[in-house]
Amino acid sequence: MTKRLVADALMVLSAIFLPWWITAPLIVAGCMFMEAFYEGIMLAAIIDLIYGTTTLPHLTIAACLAFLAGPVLRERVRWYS
Amino acid sequence: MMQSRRNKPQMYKVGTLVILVVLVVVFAAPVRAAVAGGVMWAVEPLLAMSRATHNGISSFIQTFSSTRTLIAENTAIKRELDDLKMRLLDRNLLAEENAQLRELMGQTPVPSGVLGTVLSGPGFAPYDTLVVDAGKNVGIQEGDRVFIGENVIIGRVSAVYAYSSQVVLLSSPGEKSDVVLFGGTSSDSVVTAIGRGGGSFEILIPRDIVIATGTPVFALGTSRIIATVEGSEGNANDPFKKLLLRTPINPQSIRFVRIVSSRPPL
Repeated sequence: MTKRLVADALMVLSAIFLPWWITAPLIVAGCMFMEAFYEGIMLAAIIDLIYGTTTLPHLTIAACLAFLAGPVLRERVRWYS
Repeated sequence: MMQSRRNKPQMYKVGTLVILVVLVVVFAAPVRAAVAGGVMWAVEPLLAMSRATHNGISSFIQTFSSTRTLIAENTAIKRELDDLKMRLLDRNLLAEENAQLRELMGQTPVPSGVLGTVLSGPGFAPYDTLVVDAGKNVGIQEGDRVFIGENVIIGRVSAVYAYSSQVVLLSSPGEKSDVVLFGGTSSDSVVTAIGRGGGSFEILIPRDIVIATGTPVFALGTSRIIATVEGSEGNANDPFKKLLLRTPINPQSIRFVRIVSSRPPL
């Protein structure tokens, strides 16, 4: 739980202080490595609300896809240490 | 472990609910506007802090630039300044003459506009938009035009919040602007410039029209510059060619803008 809270805090900070092309891969990584990472979708929606126009919210859609693909990829990818 | 497995479907149910709520927020315009207003109210001070931090970091890094690079840059800037001074002299004379003529015609120009600091722009944000620290508090309205300096128009206000506003750049992908092309081999032509993102535009014109690189392109009905001609592309079999334009200033380096009301003066 603590790990998740720290990750959430770091992502919020990255959304405010770092360019979007750093935050976006972090959201995808969050969806890959964390169980049901819906905070990522919320963060992407906030970025779209701040910077996006009324046209297609690309980042939110990408985060939704990453959220849905995350569990599938996690099961299929094998990690060797 | 068992508990975690039991929690899994529950977590995904919450996730699905979150997706649905988020999609409603970002797609339903009235909900979006209300939520965006709240988000901007909370985030605007943080964006200002972020901008200040970035400026601080970049000036700190600049102190480590090598002396040789700084001397070379200094020389180049001095040369450019001399060139600009010469041009400015000419421009001042013309502006003075223009003001006198306008006065004779009974049109006294009134300086207008609100100065706004750019809190975030393209490169930092995923879209070709600017977030500016001027909002309803200084009378900004949706549709107001956004300038750099006096004569370069770069965008329009697309959303206004309490203390900030969002500006869509004219060069945003798919954004259409009516422009006037001067200096072609034929008479002046009115065409539509389509934004390509990153400060560039494209215009489709007949292949026979020749327009020199560097020619300014003006917004229709005004004497405001939108972009300058950068080049063209197209093949010999095509009756049309694409004219590529570029804004006079890189959108990523914009720090201040002037927002001018689109309402007619009282």
